Amino acid sequence: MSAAIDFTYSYAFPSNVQQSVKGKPQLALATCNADHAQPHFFDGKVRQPRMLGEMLYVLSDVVRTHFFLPRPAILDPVVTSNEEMLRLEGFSGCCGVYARVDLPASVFEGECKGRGTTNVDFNNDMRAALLRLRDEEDVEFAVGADEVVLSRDGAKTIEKKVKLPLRWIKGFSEVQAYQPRLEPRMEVTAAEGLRFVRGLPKGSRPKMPSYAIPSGRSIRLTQRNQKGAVPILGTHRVKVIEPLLLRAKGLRVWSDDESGASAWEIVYPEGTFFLMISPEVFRGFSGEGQLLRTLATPPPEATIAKVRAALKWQSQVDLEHLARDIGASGSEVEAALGILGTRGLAGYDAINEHYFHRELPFDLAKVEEMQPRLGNARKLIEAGKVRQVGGASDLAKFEVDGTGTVHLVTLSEDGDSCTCPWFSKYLGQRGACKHVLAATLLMQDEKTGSEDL
Amino acid sequence: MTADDLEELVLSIKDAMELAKAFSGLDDKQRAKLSSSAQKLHRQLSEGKPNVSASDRLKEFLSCRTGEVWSQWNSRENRNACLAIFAVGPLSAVKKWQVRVWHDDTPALECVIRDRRPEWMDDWIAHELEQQGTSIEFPTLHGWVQDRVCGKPESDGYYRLFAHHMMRTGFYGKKEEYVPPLSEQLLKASELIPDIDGLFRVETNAFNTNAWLTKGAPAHYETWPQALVRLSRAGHLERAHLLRLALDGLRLDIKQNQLSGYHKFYRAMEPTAAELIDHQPDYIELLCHPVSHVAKFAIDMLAKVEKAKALQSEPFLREVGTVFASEAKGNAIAALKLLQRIVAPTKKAPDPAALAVIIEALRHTDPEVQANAIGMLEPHSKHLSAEQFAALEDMVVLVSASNRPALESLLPNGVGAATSPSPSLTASGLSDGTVDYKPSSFSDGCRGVLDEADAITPIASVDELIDTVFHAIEVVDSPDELERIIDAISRLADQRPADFDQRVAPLLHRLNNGQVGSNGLGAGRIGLGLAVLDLVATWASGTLYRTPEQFSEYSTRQDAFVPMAAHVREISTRVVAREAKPLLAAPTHRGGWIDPVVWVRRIAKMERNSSLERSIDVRLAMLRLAPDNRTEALQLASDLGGDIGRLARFALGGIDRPQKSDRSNYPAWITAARCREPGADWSSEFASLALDDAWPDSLFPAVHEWSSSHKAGQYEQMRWKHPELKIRVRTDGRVDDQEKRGLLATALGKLSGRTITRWEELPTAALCRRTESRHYWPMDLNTTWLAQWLAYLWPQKLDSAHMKAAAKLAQRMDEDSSNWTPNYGFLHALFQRGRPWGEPGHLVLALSLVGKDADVRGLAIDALIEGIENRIFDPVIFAIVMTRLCEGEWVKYNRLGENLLQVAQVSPAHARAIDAALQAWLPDFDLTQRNGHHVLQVLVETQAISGAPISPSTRTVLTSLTGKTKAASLAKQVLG
Repeated sequence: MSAAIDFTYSYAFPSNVQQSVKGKPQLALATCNADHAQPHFFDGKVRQPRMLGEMLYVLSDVVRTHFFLPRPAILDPVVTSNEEMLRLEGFSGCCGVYARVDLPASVFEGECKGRGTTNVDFNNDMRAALLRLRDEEDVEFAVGADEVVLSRDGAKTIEKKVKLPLRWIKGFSEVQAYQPRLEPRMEVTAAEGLRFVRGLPKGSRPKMPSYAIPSGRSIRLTQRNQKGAVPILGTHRVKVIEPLLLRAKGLRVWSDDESGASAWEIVYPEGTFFLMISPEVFRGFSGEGQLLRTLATPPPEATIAKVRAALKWQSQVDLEHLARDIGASGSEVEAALGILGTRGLAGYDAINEHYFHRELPFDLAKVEEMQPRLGNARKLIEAGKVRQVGGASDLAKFEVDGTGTVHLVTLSEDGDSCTCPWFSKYLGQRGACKHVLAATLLMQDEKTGSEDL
Repeated sequence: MTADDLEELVLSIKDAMELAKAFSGLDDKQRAKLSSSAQKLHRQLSEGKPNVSASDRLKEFLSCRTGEVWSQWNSRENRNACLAIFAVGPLSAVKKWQVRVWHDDTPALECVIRDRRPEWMDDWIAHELEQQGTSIEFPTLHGWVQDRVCGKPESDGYYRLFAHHMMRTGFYGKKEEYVPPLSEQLLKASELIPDIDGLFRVETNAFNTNAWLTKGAPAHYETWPQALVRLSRAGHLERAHLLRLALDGLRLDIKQNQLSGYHKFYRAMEPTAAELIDHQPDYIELLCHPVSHVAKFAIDMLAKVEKAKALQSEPFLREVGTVFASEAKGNAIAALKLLQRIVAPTKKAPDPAALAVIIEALRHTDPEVQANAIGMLEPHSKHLSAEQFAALEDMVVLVSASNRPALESLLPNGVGAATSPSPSLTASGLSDGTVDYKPSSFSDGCRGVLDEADAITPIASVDELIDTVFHAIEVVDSPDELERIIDAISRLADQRPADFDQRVAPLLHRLNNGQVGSNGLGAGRIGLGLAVLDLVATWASGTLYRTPEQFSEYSTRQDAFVPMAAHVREISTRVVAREAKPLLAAPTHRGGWIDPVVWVRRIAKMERNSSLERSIDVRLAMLRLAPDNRTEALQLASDLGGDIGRLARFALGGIDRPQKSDRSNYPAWITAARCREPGADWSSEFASLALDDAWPDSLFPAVHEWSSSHKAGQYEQMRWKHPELKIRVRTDGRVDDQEKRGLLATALGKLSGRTITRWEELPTAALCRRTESRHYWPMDLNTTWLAQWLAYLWPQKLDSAHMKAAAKLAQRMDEDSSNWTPNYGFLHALFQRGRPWGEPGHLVLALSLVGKDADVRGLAIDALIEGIENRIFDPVIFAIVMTRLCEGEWVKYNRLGENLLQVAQVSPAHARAIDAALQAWLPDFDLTQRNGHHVLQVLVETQAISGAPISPSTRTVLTSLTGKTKAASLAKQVLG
């Protein structure tokens, strides 16, 4: 299977700050989705141009950066629009940093022209112009443009041919799996947050994990893990938010103890910037580890399909309401949304604890094929390498043939275990190994088979 | 030409041009017919293997070839085959990386190409120019373009080739070639002049400023900027166009070195006043540039425009604020100077927009920038609007502590005072910093170290042991885990459940195949690490593992671990025999500590073991006895009989003493003495044992000496100082070091009937061995958990562990964190609860704070923060250490300043402690030296946060600083 797919961004014009027909500065973002349509989502004014400019600038920093190799990335962010919210999401070239700008309707004066998700052009000229937006000015804002405008301006189409790594598409999809598990850990003023971020190592960076811990009213960095500490690997990844803290209201720090992922929410009076970093610099977001169990034992496909059909670009999916509508349980709907999230068909807003509908504008069919650990587990079963060797209903033991040895898997309510190097090293923190998955699947298959009988 | 003819030519012709000419005159059809044969021939020659259908000639040729296949890659025949593919092959074949034309064959390739004029030429060139490196040379390509063999490429690679070729110096490669000045080359090939535009669009070396690019250049050499300036002055190039190109180039997202080259070129063109004014909008736009030197260029140009009284203040004021959002201090200062000229006191009220921008400057991270901005606002405070006062109030929390009072004084009615926050206080009972910081006295050495939170729960079952070992094979979380494993293996050696072999089979498989984690048990492949690995393998397999160690000049074991390794090997021997035995040396608490009461109880249970007092186990255990609970333990020990009872009581401070009859068990008794009083001179007490001993920390306490120096290096213009830390460990000088004794002294000692002590038997002496690292590379300490484990051997007295750490840290002062030689494990010893750091500990701290290793530095900051909270940090000792370190003239004060500032900002009490250290240090510190002001900057902040009084000696030092230096200005600030 190829590691990347060829994709052409085809924009009707380059995103930029230009003079509108009324002679005012206008931030115009060009759009393009998977089938090269160029939707028009928004037209109006932005109430706080400087804040918007700075947030989009930092978002562009994230998408154009590969945080552990000196390699430029030219992968544009996506925007999801509905009447309540405009969200821009970006993913770094290294697949380890996810950024999202949430702009509620109150940030704008104007009209939502359409709902949906599309790519949006970020280019160098636009970046430079973003920093020059000022609150004192009357700045217009457009996401896409209508056909009349395009034909009047005779804009030249901008094409960007890129190779979208499958790993990038997969990571962008699966980063949603981490978000429901995030817990808020600390909240400080923007000034204290700025002091903390400015104190992060600049030139020479630690290779070992650093941790952010509360220190009175502030946060400080430590190299020693302790209760309540938020791990940071790759402090330079957090440093990208520094410009935003100059004018923000506060900083909220989130983390997921199990995976080690952390999130940094810059709070404004209206709108937020949400930056999430993967557990390690060179490791992206592979939600597979977190969702493997769910993927291994998913809710019925019919439920997933019903949930999918019920998604209509809501900025907040009401779980209970949806469950009632389709006649499924809340947990089934949540599991279905989790799976749809890994397929790039839903996002999760940890701040408001809701899923939102958005569909990543890429060919997602290939992504569905990429579940290597689960695939390997199935291969083990098909090759007859998994055997149950005993145990009670709450404690099942299996032998799984490895390379040159036989691994022992124990499935129990207190926790699963395996003797393979992966499990021994991570003790389940990075999800189940293929051996545990294979044993789980075998047990599930046998249970299903006996129920059928 | 047939396929056979082709093969004959390729295999027999020795002259590439002759081969090239052989293909001339073939038409496209003939070439196409030969294409497949040429490709097959090339493949067979590259792989060194004839096809089944290969000719006898080819088979024989290949069978006669000697050497490896890869060594034939540039043989004449292989090169001929490549040329043949160019002569007859398709685009897909010439694009393969294996088909490269050797440099010497370029004339032949040219001949082939010119003759054939393949239709794929443009595509092939485009492909070649996209690669990292190409064999096409620019003159060749240029010639083809001129002769219409191919179209003019537009790819970035073309411009890179163009730039690189024209700027060659003749130093690399063709030294004999005369290279005319670049301007001359361009005038001779004037058709290339339009290509100059591409140099301002594409990343090339043309405008780079690296020294190696002009290495060995002749006197007449011209760089690209020099050539362009010259041609412009002579009227051959349009000046305005070049300036425009340079400015447009600065907007590109390209490497910083090239951006620097663009604005240097722009300056070299010496723009006129009119041009400066004309370009003003560009400069203003560039103020927002994320690269600081580009923003600096913009500020400098605008300063010139302002001098010409043509600055458009409105757009300038609109954009200049972004300069203060970046960290570059120089840019911020320069921008403020420019703003100063705009708001200079005049009869008119200052532009409110200018005041608003100056307020923005308060967001800058540097205190000097903030101070300048406050200074500029002061004379105009009456012109500030309510909105601007509100903005100033918001800034109070952003500015440094030293600037806060000045800023608050600008606010109306002391509004700021109420909102001015102080740095947070930490826990651990620290005061608010108004009381002087006083470190704890450790004169009685009896601060308790045992805490229930640190108690270790022993591994209870074989199941738990198996799981713990599986994890440790992949990653060792801490030495505490290893201690638990060693203890459990010894205690549970006789337990082997029915499924044991099956359960540990994967473990043994990994051990035997070397498939272990890089920071797991397998990381230690020498010395103690290897002993532990062998122990685990012995336990898992039931057979004794003794992996031979491989020492070399560059890889040896750490002597400090020798007794511990012997202990582990002893356990292995018992495990094979399935003899379970609890260990005296198993820690009861994290950090390697043993509760003395528990220790005595353990001895009581094992008392019947007749040789217990001679075991390495008891020696290692004694060094781990905590200072806590010794009185109670001594009372319990009164019931212990035999020599072990005497030994235990002596170690715990009882009245028992070593006797002459204890001579043969001298290792245990000397170790017990060190347990009783770690730093004492025990030579008199042991006189009756007639021991010949002068090992440091054996009968005589160790004296650790060190000095700081540097080794200067130079290569061309570059000079550097390599830090050196010379360490020597000796006894107190009354006796010769045992190490240095010659054969005669040793023989005399034996003849006199004295027992010569062996360091391998004495854990405390082993710790002092070979602390200096010169010519000695103990590989164990490259493993983090082994470096941490060093502090577990004798937690009572960490001096030796600290000195070994210091030796390793000093080796990598100016290097980043390393996975291969991670040093952060050494700082583990600084976090041992309740142990004084002494000079060695403060030396480790100081080295860590001035080093480049970010992992070490981060831990050092943590250690200092906790050290202050626990009153272990001693400002006076720290000052002495810093003074001596600075004698080496290599200390980077900016690093130290940054790190001390971080600690000072934790709380007023921390600021107070740092302040005390600085004031103790300053009288011996040369503040006039380069970058010495970084230390003063910290003092400015600690004074602002803590309000500590200035000592007379500090005042004297600060008053002596005069002039306009940074140090003098900061001194004035401190003195008020």
